[in-house]
Amino acid sequence: MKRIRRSLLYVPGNQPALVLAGGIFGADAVVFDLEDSVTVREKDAARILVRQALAVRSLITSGAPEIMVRINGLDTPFGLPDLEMIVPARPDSIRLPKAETRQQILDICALLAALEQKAGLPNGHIELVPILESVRGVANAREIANAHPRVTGLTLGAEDFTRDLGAARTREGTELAVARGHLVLAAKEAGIAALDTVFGAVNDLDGLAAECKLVRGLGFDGKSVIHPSQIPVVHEVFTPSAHEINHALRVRHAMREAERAGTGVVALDGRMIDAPVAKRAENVLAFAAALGLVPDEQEVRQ
Amino acid sequence: MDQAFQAQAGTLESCDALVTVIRSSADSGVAVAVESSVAGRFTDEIRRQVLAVADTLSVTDIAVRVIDRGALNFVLQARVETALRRLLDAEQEAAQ
Repeated sequence: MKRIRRSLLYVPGNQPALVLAGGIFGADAVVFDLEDSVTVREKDAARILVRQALAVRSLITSGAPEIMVRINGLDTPFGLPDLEMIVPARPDSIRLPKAETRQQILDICALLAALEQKAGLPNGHIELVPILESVRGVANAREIANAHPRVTGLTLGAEDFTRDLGAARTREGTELAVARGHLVLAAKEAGIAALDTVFGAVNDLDGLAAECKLVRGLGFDGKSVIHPSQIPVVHEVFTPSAHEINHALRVRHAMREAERAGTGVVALDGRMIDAPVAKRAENVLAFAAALGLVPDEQEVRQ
Repeated sequence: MDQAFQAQAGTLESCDALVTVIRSSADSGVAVAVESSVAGRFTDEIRRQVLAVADTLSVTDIAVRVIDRGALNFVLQARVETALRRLLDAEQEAAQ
């Protein structure tokens, strides 16, 4: 079963009050950040604090099933010490900044395997979510997505990407259209999660909702958030609606009836149901079931 | 006289602790002074945590001052460890 990753809440890794509270807002994942939100002189303090937090994860993650740690890039002096300290504390996943090539992924996966072995952890436990935040990274999305089984999601880093692209950031996000399309295609081909970049205007919840609808429409599975107030908005969009679930249940019912009757062609509300429609309905129901949202089949209106 | 090595970690923000460690003379052991905004009864627990972290890192002959702002144990342990590692790093750097 794939992880549910509708919302991924960034938490600055060197702020104890936030580290402690990060898990209580209902995000699907908490991302303890050792990178951009931590100053250079506090990198050591943050990685030790996050390691200690992971040691008491039941205390800090009520309601957040996944703990991800965003490390510093392995091209900085901080990336390797981050991994060496964090891996033995067993986070669920590592978010890798500035991913650009398949070789980078293979290198970090080899490091993860060695560190897991050293810590006596099962090999392959820790998942990897590369951040594509350069033109090269986005262009290589496919090779990154398929580089290693540890890679269970791709995420977009819009600020660095648009700077690299030479385009301005806009509320509409036109400058991200190609990158999003490219990323989602690569992720879906590899069968992993497509995760969208943060929406920086924390007070603009309407703008956030619009962006969520846009990217869900493109096929994205979820979005990183930087403030707890963004979580319900993101969940509202990325959770199948009652209407979608009900329709999916009716599709399933119609398919089963047709099988029983031995009919080849199935119609529902005057529209033909074919295999892709049935498969999409099953996907909706699997996701809804994972979220505990599927009602008893007998309740479905026929 | 050379100034004694010292290092610091943490902050005075809520849920955190500011930990200062100073190298003291040989065979002086680990001395701990605690100032807590919470309540006096936690002083012993804070002292116990400091001693445990110092023991884990095999550091002795230090004076540790903790100004506690309601840090939970995992935060206090992290701040003490950071301060001690910074002290050791500074000493190692000076020795080179």
